[in-house]
Amino acid sequence: MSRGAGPPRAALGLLGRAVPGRLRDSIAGDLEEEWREQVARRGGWRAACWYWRQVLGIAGHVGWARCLVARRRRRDGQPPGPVGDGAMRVFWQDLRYGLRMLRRSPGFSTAAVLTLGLGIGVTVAMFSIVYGVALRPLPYADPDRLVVLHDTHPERTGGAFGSSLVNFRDWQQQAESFSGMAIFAHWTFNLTGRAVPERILGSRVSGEFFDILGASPILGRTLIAADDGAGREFVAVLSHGGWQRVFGGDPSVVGRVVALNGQPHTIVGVMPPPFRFPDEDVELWAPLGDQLRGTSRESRFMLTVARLDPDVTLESAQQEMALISDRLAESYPDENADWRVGVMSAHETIVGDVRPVLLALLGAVSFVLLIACGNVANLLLARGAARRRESAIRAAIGAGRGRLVRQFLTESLVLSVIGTTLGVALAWAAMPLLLRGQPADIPRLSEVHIDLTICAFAAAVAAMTTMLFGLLPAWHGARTTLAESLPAGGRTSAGGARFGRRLRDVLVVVEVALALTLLIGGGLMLRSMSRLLDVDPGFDAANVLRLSVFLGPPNYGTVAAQKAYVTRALEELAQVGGVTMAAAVTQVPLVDVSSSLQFRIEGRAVAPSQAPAVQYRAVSENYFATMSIAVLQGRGVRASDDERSAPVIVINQTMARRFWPDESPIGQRLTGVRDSGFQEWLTIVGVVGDVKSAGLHADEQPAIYAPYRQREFPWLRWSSFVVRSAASPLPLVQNIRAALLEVDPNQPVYGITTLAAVVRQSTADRRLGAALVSLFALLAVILASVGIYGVIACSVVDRTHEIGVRLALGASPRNVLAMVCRHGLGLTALGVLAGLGCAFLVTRFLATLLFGVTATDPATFVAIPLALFVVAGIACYLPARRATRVDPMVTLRSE
Amino acid sequence: MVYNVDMLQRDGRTEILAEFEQFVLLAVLHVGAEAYGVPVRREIERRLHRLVSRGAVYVTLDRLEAKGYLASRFGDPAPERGGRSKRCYAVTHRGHAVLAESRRALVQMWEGFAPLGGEV
Repeated sequence: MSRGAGPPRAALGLLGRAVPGRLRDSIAGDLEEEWREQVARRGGWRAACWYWRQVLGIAGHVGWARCLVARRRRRDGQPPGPVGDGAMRVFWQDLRYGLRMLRRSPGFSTAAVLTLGLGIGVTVAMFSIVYGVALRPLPYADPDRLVVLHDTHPERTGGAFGSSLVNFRDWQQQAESFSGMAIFAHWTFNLTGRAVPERILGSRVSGEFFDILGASPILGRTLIAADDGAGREFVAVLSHGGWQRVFGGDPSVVGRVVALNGQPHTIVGVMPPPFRFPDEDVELWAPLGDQLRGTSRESRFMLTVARLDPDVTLESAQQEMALISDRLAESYPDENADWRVGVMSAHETIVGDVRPVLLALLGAVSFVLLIACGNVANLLLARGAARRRESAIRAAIGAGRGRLVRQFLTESLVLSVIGTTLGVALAWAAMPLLLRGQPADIPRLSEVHIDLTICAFAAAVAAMTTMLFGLLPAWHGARTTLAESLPAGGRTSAGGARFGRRLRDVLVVVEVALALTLLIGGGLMLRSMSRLLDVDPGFDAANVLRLSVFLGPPNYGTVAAQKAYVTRALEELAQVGGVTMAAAVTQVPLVDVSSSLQFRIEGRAVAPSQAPAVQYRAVSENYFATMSIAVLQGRGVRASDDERSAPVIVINQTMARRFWPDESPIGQRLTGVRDSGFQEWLTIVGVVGDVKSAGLHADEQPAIYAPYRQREFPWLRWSSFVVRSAASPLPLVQNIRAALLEVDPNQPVYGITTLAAVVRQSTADRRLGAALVSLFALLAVILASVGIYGVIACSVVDRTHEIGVRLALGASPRNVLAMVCRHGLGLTALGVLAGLGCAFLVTRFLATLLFGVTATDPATFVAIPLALFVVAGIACYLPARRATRVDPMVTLRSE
Repeated sequence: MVYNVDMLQRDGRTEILAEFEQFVLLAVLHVGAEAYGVPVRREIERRLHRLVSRGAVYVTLDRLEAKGYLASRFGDPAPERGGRSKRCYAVTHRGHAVLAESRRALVQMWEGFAPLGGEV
């Protein structure tokens, strides 16, 4: 890149080499003149990109024009004539020569180009995903300065929490590190007044939200601070996805009034496709207004985004927020004791979770590329051996070593350019397939595409691979002397050839080591996957359908109305033909985030801020039976547990074990602390089996189930139903949906899936990781066995004479077979040893992705090398068998 | 690309310029005294309302000069050009002649088709 006040120096250098000397200065001057205009108009970075594009374009034009001139001269029977001058002329000569050589040996060229194309293709495809998801800057103004603030508590698991609106107001007043701060919350909207009511996932945001992200709409306007005041007209901004899905991309949508949660909202704008803050699913933003009036300092369900002042670092902002949290903890010890504010870059917040997986995959794919390079280097070495005479003669008539290396490298460059082109084309074709297989919860996937950056990366990979696979054979090819290459007794002399063979052996050892490392990584992930799939989720997902409703205002503004809806819906669902059982629950396992409750047990004193937290859900009486969750002690929830009866709860096994390790929890009583909404004592009447609620890999947390009829659950607003049927529930979907519309035709029903699909989806990202690593491992093994095959086949050809002599002297074909296989398996053994060491070091980075197996799982570390030996054995056997068919008479006579 | 359609004077007749060569020569005439790469390219873009690649312009200018249709001289070095001079082009007599010949050939070929393309 450019340093100082001129255009990028490297580009200028390239221009100097690409265009003839007489034009060099005037073209460079013209470009600099225009580059300055670009700098003034678009800034230095973009101007530098512009400059590179122009230089590459001009170099391409000049090169192409030269080819045309040369072709015309050939056509007209004239000598090719000097093209270019100095270094460039030599390059064009080498290029033409290289192309001719590649055309002359199509078998070699095809093998090399295919191998490289495959290696580069998977690398580019994987890199596009990693770049698009984890590396590309967020599509907001000055994205490096965007941060997310969140609460953390040393004893609460689950990492970061949201922030509360009340604390946010204090932060906003006290913090000086930020030029602005906005708070927002995920919000569910029911869109009614249309033929089919629709549930929309959106966000309630404070007035500064769009200013802080720095985004402009494609239609209308964004939300401004004035929209956020109490008593304002209700307005909303659509995301591009929401605009397309719900309004069919109607260009006249701005100004339209729609009913959201029963209130008329005017749509004032539509955002461009990349604007998807805070996540992919959001379809609408509406001002917070006074929706959360009276919210407590402890409802930490909102998120804060802020923009750092230009001269403030993340660390100093973190320090300031630590001071502010201390101050708030002092002022409000009940609500804020021990709570800290974390400051994290917005980019990290959005992609932090998936980055390790993606980087592991990129690592795996780079192994495939390395193996492909190893194979091509092997091919080149083998061909170099065949071309030793040629280079020796060239050297003898005056070509310097540097000149020869250059020529070989140019040939490699040609190969790598063709291979890269093929690779990018492959990646481009494979991308839709790869993306289709991705789980929906990987963020920013829609931003993945092949663009200039990706092509630049591919070019860099091509240059690197050229060096990797080209340099060694070039150097080796150039060191041959004429005397070495001339026939000695009908065979090529030993020295150089033996050295070349040894190099090829080393390459094969490296390839085997890399392939083994990948295989062990893939094996561990597959094993961990199968362990994960074996995990008992604690419920029976077969033949259960799950569906959700959001019971918001105006019809369901009160918990009583929500209860009434749930009760009627359960009655209707039970009537549907084919349904054997139906139940309601506020959070479906593996789908919804559980709400938590801080509680204290009767007779055990605990400070309010130290009170333990459990997950809690409201359920209907059939829930345990519908889900096939075992009732281990006492009883489950009954229909008679209603407002009039004494409040009861059912707890899970983990909770029973943790809090009553030596006694029966039945009959024990607990209550919520402070304003958790529980003032009365709740009696434990039963213990049920544990259910995997946060993922099959996660340990189950203590949980409470409460009868929904009994209390005022605010969470009843997000109710789900689970419906069990005798056979597959999918044919019943229409009827089930109709039954719920019967209860209320204006109430949207969403999230209709089978529970089995929910379980499957919960492992989707791990399954994908395992599938991709295994795919890469398979590619690696294929490439490595081709490498072994090639080396052994070459060595058989090289040693034909020796084998002939051995056979003539009485060696049996079996001896020859063993000799050849020993060579190949010996190399494999060395590779396996090196690979085991490498895998041992590398797989520890996989540890966080593994479940139920250790990163050094002995079974994997034993079984996979054995399997690799079998494959290597086959790769050796084929050329070895050919060696046994050598006819001694033919080989000896040919001398 | 356009510049490979290059009818040399094989049988003694005057060459007919390729389309892009005509554009470049005419742009040099339009720009006048200060006809170096940048204004020449902009003139073509301005008149034709389409983007033109710099490489094509430079290659064509160079070839037209080699054929003797353009002559070039160096201007003074300028600081905004990193101290480099402009190469300013002017159309030679031969250039004028070949342009006129190319236009004549084109008009002849278009004769009778005026309604199709409107004004020739």
